[in-house]
Amino acid sequence: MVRNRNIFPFLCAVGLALSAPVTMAEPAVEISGFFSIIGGKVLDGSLHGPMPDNEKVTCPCYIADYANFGVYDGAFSFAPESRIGLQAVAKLTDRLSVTAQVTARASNPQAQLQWAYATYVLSPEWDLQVGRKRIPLYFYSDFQDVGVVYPWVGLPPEIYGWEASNYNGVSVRKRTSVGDVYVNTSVFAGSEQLKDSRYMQSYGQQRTDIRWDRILGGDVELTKGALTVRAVAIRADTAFTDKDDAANDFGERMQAYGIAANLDLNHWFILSELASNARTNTSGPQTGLTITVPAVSLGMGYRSGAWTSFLNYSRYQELSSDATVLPDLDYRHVSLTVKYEVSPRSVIKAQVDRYWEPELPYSGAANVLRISYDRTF
Amino acid sequence: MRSSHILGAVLGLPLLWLAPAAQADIAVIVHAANPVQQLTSRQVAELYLGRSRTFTSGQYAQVVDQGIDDPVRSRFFKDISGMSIGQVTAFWSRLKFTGQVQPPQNLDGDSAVLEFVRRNPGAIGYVSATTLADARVKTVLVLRE
Repeated sequence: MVRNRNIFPFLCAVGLALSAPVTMAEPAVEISGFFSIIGGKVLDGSLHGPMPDNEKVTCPCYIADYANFGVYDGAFSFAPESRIGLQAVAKLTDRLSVTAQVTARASNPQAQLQWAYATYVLSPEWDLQVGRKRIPLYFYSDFQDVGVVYPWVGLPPEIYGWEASNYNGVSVRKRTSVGDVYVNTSVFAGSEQLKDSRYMQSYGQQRTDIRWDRILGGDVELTKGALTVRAVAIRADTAFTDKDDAANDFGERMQAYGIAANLDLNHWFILSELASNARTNTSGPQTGLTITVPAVSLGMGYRSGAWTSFLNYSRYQELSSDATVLPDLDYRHVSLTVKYEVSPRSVIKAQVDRYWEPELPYSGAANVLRISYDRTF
Repeated sequence: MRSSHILGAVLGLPLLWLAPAAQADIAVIVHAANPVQQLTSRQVAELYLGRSRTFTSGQYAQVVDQGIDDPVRSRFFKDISGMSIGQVTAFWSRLKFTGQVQPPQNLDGDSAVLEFVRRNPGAIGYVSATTLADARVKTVLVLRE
């Protein structure tokens, strides 16, 4: 990660400059990007949240973005989720290109190198990529920053709330058609290291090291007409180090699976995703403990002209193999979004969320209002 | 959703007076030396949605698109894929920002597209059929208005 550079204002300026329609003739380096300006607040609620008392947030609160500690409370704020990304693609030969994507966030304005990889086209159907990429964990994981693409203001954190979202490694992808079914499949392997994770800081642990080693995964996406189905499996060995208290250190073996099915019938569309991951502690004070995390998201939308309305339900559970050591959790979340397409590349959305935890220890609820302007350029 | 259709028809009726009398057919073109003689809508869609990199002959395709906000582009993608231009933008944004495929190059207007296809043996583009009278390019599909 590139750090210690506050480039959010700079990227915003570049983004605005590039938003003007420009057509370049056969560019050697193509610059493009996206931004999302998102504002919101917790309207009311009683939810303490799965977060300890924190000087930056006054609960009731709502964690919209776990990886970047994007949290709303009772004060209207643009900080938790607003972001901008710039991508540069340099085509070196007909088959070889290099790509870099830098993002900055209002909540964390230091530049983050999300993507930096080389692509080699092995054949018309096969690609090899080496470098730093997003982990293609669930359906929207590797383009979760590009708000124009999906109907929510922000993705359901019940499925997309992960501490690690990138990896350094290698991937191979094949894209082909079998009859009238389009098949897009990949395998990937690598590792990731996070220093002073904002995810862990949201739980009060400021100076940490998180490692995901031996990441190995694969996905297959099938498209036939209006139906797209994607399945993914991934495993990794994770290690957590608390630099302030070694007693908190632990290691885990993580396995995750997901299946998404999307049906787009022009006016009506359905987006669904089922995910499950299991983490077994392989070292540390809770060795042997397994936490199984099933999560589901189901949404239905209707689009008419420039307008789209979208209703979504999602649920996240943590089921512990020993509830006396770690209690089970159960979060549920309903959102209603209205989207207006200002232009093909820019949309305005308004979303209300109701998020609740019916069981102890964090029982309560929060109602949230968010508005957004998303654009690609 | 019958009521929304009725509402749409009522609201859209006045716009008929403003609609152009006729829209031109769209011609999908390749270089004259390209061995491909004809393409189906589905084959064109696969090239323009990044699902295929080659012509049926195996030759790599250099796909060029019209200007991002050009109305002919909306018609073209609706015809070959059924997708609105907003859906196409979302579709390509996913592929582009996840590094899967880079979208076709956008060129402003028929003359720029024609010139590109004339100069590049692997090129494919689309133009208004009324502007097409050029022995150096070949029409492989016509999308009727």
